[in-house]
This record gives sequence, structure tokens and C-alpha cells, in this order.
Amino acid sequence: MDYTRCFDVIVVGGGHAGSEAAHAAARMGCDTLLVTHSIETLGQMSCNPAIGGIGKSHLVREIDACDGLMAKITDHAGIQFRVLNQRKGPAVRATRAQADRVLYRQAMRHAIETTPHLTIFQQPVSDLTIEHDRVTGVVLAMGLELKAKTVVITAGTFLAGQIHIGMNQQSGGRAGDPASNELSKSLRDLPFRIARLKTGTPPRIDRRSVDLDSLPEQPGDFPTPYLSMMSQGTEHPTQIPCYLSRTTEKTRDIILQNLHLSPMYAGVIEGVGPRYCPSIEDKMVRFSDKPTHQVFLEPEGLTSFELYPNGVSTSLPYEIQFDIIRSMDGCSQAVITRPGYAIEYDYFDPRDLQATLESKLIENLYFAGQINGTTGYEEAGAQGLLAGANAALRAQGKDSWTVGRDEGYLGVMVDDLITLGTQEPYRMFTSRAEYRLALREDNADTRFTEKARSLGLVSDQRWKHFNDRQEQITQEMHRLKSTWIRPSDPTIEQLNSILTSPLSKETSAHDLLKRPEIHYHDLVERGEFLGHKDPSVSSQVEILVKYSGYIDRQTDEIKKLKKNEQVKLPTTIDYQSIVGLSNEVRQKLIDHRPETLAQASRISGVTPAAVSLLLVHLKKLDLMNMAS
Amino acid sequence: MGDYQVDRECRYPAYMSISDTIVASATAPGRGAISIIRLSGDNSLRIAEALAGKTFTPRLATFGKLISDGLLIDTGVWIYFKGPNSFTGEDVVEFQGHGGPVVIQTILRTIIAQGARLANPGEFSQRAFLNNRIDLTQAEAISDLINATSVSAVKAANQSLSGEFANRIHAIVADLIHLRTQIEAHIDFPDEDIDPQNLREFSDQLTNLHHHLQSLKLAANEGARLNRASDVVLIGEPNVGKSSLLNALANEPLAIVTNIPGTTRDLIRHDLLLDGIELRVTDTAGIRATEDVIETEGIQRARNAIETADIALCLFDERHHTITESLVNRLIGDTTSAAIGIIRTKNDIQSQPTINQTNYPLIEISAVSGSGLNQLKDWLLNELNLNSNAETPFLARERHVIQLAIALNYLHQAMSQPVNLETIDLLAEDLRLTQNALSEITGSFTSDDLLGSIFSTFCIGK
Repeated sequence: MDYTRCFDVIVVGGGHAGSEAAHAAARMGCDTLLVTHSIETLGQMSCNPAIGGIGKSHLVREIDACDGLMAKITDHAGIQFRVLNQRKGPAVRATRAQADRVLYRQAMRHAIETTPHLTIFQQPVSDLTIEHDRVTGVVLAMGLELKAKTVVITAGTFLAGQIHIGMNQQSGGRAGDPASNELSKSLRDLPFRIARLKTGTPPRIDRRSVDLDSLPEQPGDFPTPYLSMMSQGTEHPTQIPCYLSRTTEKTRDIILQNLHLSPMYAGVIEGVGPRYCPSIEDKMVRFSDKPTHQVFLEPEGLTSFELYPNGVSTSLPYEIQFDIIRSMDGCSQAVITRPGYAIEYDYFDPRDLQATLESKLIENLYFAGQINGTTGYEEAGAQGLLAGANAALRAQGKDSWTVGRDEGYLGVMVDDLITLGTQEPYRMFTSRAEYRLALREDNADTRFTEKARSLGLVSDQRWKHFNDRQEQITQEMHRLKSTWIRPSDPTIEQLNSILTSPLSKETSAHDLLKRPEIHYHDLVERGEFLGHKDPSVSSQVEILVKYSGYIDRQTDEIKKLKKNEQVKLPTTIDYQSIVGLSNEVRQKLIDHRPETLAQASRISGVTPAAVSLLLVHLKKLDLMNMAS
Repeated sequence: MGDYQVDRECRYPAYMSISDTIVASATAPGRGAISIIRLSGDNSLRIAEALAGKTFTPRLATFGKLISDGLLIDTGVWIYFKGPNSFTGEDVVEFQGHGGPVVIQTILRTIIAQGARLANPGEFSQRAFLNNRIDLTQAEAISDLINATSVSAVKAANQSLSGEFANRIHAIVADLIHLRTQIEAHIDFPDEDIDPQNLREFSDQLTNLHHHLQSLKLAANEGARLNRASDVVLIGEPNVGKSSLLNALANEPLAIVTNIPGTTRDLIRHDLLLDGIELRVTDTAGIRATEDVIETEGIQRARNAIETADIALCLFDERHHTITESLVNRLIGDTTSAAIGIIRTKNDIQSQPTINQTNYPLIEISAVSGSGLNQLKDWLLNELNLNSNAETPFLARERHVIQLAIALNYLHQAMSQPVNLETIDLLAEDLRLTQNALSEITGSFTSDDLLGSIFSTFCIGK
């Protein structure tokens, strides 16, 4: 590492956000430095070794559509792949992979190490250098100062972490790692709003001590699905199954008898835990009428004996954890390899960020990942991509990049975070996306690749692949529109047998597909036309036709909203001086500092009348400006 | 000025580039013989010409009909103002027709069916300002107008959203949330231990929901009373003569009138018609400290009635010759936005003149002799017609009926095909839009609220 030069982008942290951020900036040709406290832990999966799932896989596909890393790496490291919601509509289908930690880390490190323009350096970062509210570089723990045009902070793994096991507490990051206290202290001196969150993890168990033969096996799908659109079919390592265990009546008794030993129930932990990932204590208390809860035993890798019992996150003392695990189906002799624990940690109020993930308070400083109050590799990775790309754009003196709620889950997540903030670790769900039908796994490329290419994120190879695919989709759509099926056709009896009402007039295959009871494969099987050679193209066309009515309706809704998205609220706006606003609305606007009128309108409590008043105020500013 | 950029070349600022078409009655509700309906926005001309069956020339008053579906609704004068030379700066059409709430309601509904929407409070003036039709000096006045009208709109909406209507719509929204919670949990948490949902059950719930919504819409439609009564509340110390005044206004004995203080323990309401304006006069329990449980309850109800009233009449008798602010506040509290009038009762037996130290108007009456009653009636009418910018409860209910219709449309769409797994995402979308439409009535329900409902219903946490 050449310490004398001024980097375009310095990324602090080598987790999932940091890796994507550094890789994105380097792809765009920026001279990029990734500083991490340990090169060994680049791409480390600190919690459950799984990537994707409902809502999350959408983010992974969006990263992939911008030529990011996560999907490609998962395809190389995944040891069990499933498509969730396979029988439901395409908008809610999601791919989930169980990953081998070691393979994942290796593939990630390799990708980072072989990327042009990207330098890696191992040193903790202890401080930032800031001049006139603008970041100019970082200070390393050994005292050296490095200069940079922009800095991306992804030091998410449990800032000022406090680990709880029973009544025992200790400071720490993820188990085994030190908490990033130096940087945390320095950041606390800056005017950011900081709050605390809580999450938990289950104990790990040795698979050799579990009676796996007695438990239902959960194999992956066959053929094995892929996350990256660029994967060829040769990436996957050996595939192995997960197993399904369950808690028993005995588990419940053990937990309820020992609740007073749980730091959460004893009031020791104050941070807010996620509603969607309750500890096993919580589950037993809140759903006490449920006799048993399922626990997925997920392998940590091909070369590891450890299993991750997904569903029994706990902060009870180790002795109780021991009893809990042994009370579960197939686990009467189970050996715990690491205890479960709850952890409290700092996060920075994401309402202090812009839609580019640049800080509203310090120029050229970007934040991505868990530090912004999110949880999950996918959420972190997607933010990393956005922050890294924007840091690069700034360094290059180009316009920034933002993603709308109508464009991607990335846009939904960032808008939720910067507009509403979060009270629990923020995790993606499809129900957060109002334009869910348009934001699908299968069309992430259509939504992102062209824009990403214009930013310099996308390789020639992917760009060609993308254009070929788009061309084929267009051609296939055209073919279906010009393929006519007539009531006089000899095969019509066959077709009518599956139609709810028989065909009465000449109809194009395209219009026929709009009928809910008809599928592309029905038409091919009945010899109406030959199927397309690439099933992903024909399925894309089928989805486009079937969803068209709904998508058109959403497009209208989006158009109306865009109007307010374009109205920027100046950072200098004085909400106290706006006539007619209630005190409550005023306070909310001051707290949130929305960037656009649309963002303001999404803050709870900001009424349509308040939005009107803001518009009138902006117009007044306009007129005053013109007059002066 | 920060990063806020103004396109000086452009007459219409960026934020006005898509202007939907709005409609409202431009005249005060109630007594007028002529009413003006105003349309503004890109589709004004198209809608107006379709209803009139002829084409218009800018600024030329044209006598003509207003016809919908072959039915003559009204005849009157049409005037087309081509933007930007109009009140709002957009294309504006005005129809001057016959007054009368039934006709106005029908015209508004006809125009809305053609693609316009009911204007928000102060929206015409707001557009005028945004399009440079009103100068800078008026900016604060516009803000005040938006603020005042939206306050009155909120109040009117609350009045519409009460009683039986409120109960029924809240029950429907609860059912809808229940159904959405199950469907969304199905979608977002397929790996969870959620009992496999019977799709048939979804289908039954959907049918039920549709049935309830449809019957509510019918009821709300009939109940959208054209001249919804304005609420007048009588308040004062026990035995001050509230019931006597009510009886005098109503010309029939309704409340038990005795001289034992605290006789009226419940609220007594009577609907009166004063010069075409419907009044709902509420006689409240006398306000005084009491330990009688029933009477205490009556006083609480009286307080509640004041909160939502249009007009509060504070009654005083010979016990008070000097009326002060604090005396009034003790009666009505300080949370009401009602117009307030001071009534001095029993002026047939008053010996000393009244000294009014408040800013409220004073009217002296005698329920026995009838003196002062006409003055009171005139003041009431004047007060109720004074603010033509105020959103009327009728309009509020009309907005609610429109939202119910929109919600019903989405529900229709949801039911257009049998519930099955493959299209469950489409069903979820229709239900989301149904909920959005109802949220305009009952308050917002966000995706986070939905998640909260899922997490409290199901044990999620693989």
C-alpha cells in the first residue's frame, strides 16, 4: 500500500458491505483502498451461513445485475439451494442458499484480491480526518494518516458491542472478534445520532452428536438453482441437505422455568430486538399455546462438523442452553461447540443519510451496512454497492446515483431507512415493497443493468449477455403477438378443453396468455407454436404478459408520485418559518430533514395539507429568489 | 439557495407538470339559488364538453345543458377559461347551475365519474399560487387558507366518521387486515411453521369482506345527507334554561323542564330546520361538580359534544351579570374549535344589565316571551354560512363514499378469479390497494403496521 497517494475511495471494513463497496468503486476505475482489521475475515459470514430468501434474494439479484459479487460468490460457495414460494407468483419467488463459510470467504477474498485498482491493507482504523465538515482521509491505529477523496464506513460488525450470556456480560464484536471501539469512540465525537439495537444467535452444535437419521431431511432443489444470471452451470460445489428438528414440551418447561435468568426478561438488555427473529425465550412466552417450534439444522460447510440450529437464538446461561438443545428432537446427545448469546450494539441513525448513503452532516463520507441499522448480508451488500458507487462518482466529479422505490428493493430499503429510520434491525421483506409485482428476482437485470453500465459498473461480458437476452425477449414477445390462433384450427378442441370459455374469435397467442387459466407450456404442448429454446426467455415473456394489467396500473401510480420525488427540499429550509404547519409536523421535518417532497410525505404524521404548505413555501422561495 | 433549482424558462414549475383535474363547488353550501361548479386541470375541457355535448370558446359564456348517460341533470351557463389565463393558471371550466344540494351532488359525482377528483381544501388557490396567478404578497394568505380549510376538513371528516358508519368501517378494516396478515405471512414466511392455509378460507373471507363493504357503501350513499345538520350545543350551569331554549327553538317539549338543577342527565338532541339549514341542537347536562354518577357521566358527554360541535352556545342567567373569559372557559374547556356565542337567558326577569367582557357575541333572550329568539336564529344562520371555504360534513362524507367505491373496485378485481397459489401475489396487490383506499378514511396503515400484525399473529423466527 502506497501511503503517499491520495486514494479516490477508502473503504473501512471488509465485511459484506465493505467488499461490495470497494469492488464497485474499483470496477468504476477508481483508485480504491479497502482497510480491514483482518484480511483473513474478508467476506466472513458472522451469523447464519445462508444467502438469499424472500426479499433478500431480490437484493442479491440487484447486486448481481450491477455486476456485484454476492450472487456469483454464493453460486461458488452454496451447498444447498432452494427456490422458496416456487408455486406462488413470480414476484414472490426467491432463491435461498446455504453457504459453506470457508468456500465463501475464499471466493470473496480471491475476488477482492484479483480486482484491478483495488488495494487491501490490514490495520484497524481509529479515526477520520475532517476539514470543514468534509472528510479528507482516515487515521490508522498505528498512527499513519491516509488521504482520500471519499470514505465509505462499513464498520458494522457490532460497534461498541456488549455480549450477554445469562447474567454474564462482556464487551465484544461478533463472538471471537474485538468490538470496533476506537473508531466507535471517534465517530461518537461527530454530530451523528447514535442508538442501540439488539440481536441474538443460537448455540452451534456438532453434527456427529445429532441423530440425523431420525430427523426429516430437507434436500435442495434439483436442478440446483443459481443466484447469478451469469453463472454457467459448473459453479456449484457438492450439495448437502439440511435437517428439521423441533422443540418439545420439555424445551418449553425448561425455558419457562428459567426465564428469570434471561438478561432480556430480567431487564438487563435495553436494546430493541427484531420482531421477526425472536429469541426462543420470546417465542415460548408469546406463543405459549404452541406445543412445538421447528428448528432447522443447517450445515455450516462441507468441511465443518458444526450445525447452525436456526430458530433457537437465546441469551440464557450456558447450562440452560445445554438443556434446551438436548430436549430437542434428535438432539438428546448433542454437543454444543459455541454458546448462543445476545448482543447489543450501536448504530447510526440512518435518517442522517442522503439517498446516496452520503452523510447529511459530513461531505464525501458514506455509510453502508449494519452501522445503518440493518441486519443481513444481503442488506449490507446492497448498501455497499450503492455507497461504493456513489463514493466513486463523487471522486470522479460525476452526478450521484439514487434508486427509487419503484426501481428496486435497494431503493425501498434506502428510502425506508433514510425517511423513517428504524427501531429494530432492519430486514427486507417483500411486503415492504409497494411495487412488489414489478420488482422481481427475474427482472433485476431489466431494472438495473443499463443504469449500472452507464455508471461504469458493468463488464463488457455481462453487457453483451444482457443485450442478447433483452433482444430475445423482444423478439419472443413480437412472435407471440403475431401468432394467431383461430376457432377453425384443427387443434382447437384440445385448447378449448382447458379454457374457461371457448375461443370465439381469432386471438393472438399474446392475448391468449393473458387468460389466467392458460400458460405458455399449455400452448406449446398443444402444438400452437414451438417453445423458445431458452426457458428463461419464455418465462420472462409469460410473466410480462400475465402481469401487464397490474404493472400498467402501478406505472400510473408511480408517475403521480414522481412529481413529488422531483421537488427537492433545500437543506437550508427553515421549518420554523413555514406558516400553518403544526408543531408536531414541524418537529418531524426537523428530525428527518427529508430531501424531497415525496420523502416528506412518507413520514408518518406529515399530512397532505402539510405537503401543500411546503409546496407553497417553496414557491414563495422561488418568487423571492427571482425578485432579488 | 442550496440544491433547489428553479427553471426560469418554464412557466409551470416541474412539480406541476402533471396536473390531475380537480372539481368542487365554488359556492357556499346551503341557501344560494345559483351554484357554481369549478373544474381545473388538463382534462377540464374534455370533461365539460362531453357533459355539455358542445364545444366551448374561451371566455364565452354558453348557455347549455349538463347531460350524463342521456339524462338531463341541470341547465345553466358554461364558461371556459383557457390556461394560463384562468384563476388557477390551468384550463378551467365553470358551470353555473341551479342551487340545491341534490343537483350539486349529482353534478359532482358525474364529473368525478369522468375522471376528475374532488379538490382538496384550498387546492384551487394553491394551484393559482403555484402557477404565478397570485403574487408573493398573498403567500401567507394561501398558507392560512390551506391550514384553516384542512383543519375544518379534518373536523368534518371526524364528524362523518362517527357512530354506526365508523363502527362498520372499522370492522371492515379489521377483517381486511386479518386477511392480509394471513396472505402476506404466507408470502413472506413460507418456511415458517404457519399452518397450511386453506385457500378456500381466504376465498370465504374475501366474499364476506366484499359483502360488508358493498352494503356499507350503499348505506353511506343514502346516509350522505345532503345538508348534514350542523351541530349546535347548549351548555351552561344547571337550571340556566338550556332545555327551555331548546323547547322554544323546537316548539315542542323535548327535555324535562323543571327548576330542579341537574334535571337533564343525558344528551337530548333535536333536529331543526332554520331557513333551509338543518341544525342538530344538543341539550347537555348542566356543568357543575357532582358526585352523582349518572350526572357525572352526563357532564362527560356534554364535554364530548362540545369537542365536535360547530357552534357552542353558552347560557347564563341572573346568577351572572358580568360574563368573563374564565367563566366561559369553565363551561366549554379550551379544546373546542366551535364558534361560540353567549346567551343571557330569562331576560324577562333580569333586573341588572349584562356586562360582556369577552370577545364573543352576546344575545339576550327569553324562552318564555320569545324575545331575542329571532336575533339568535339570524346569528346562527350567519355563523354557519360565514365561512364558505370551510369543508362541510356533507363533502367529507362524499369523500368517504368515493373512497368506498374505489376500495370496492379493487375488491371486485381481487374476486375476478378464484383464489389460488399461483396468483396470490396479485390478490395481495388488490388487497393492498383496497386498504390504501380505506386508509383515506380511517387513517394510514403502513407496510410496517402489516409486518407488526404478522409478527404478533404468527410465531416467526426461523
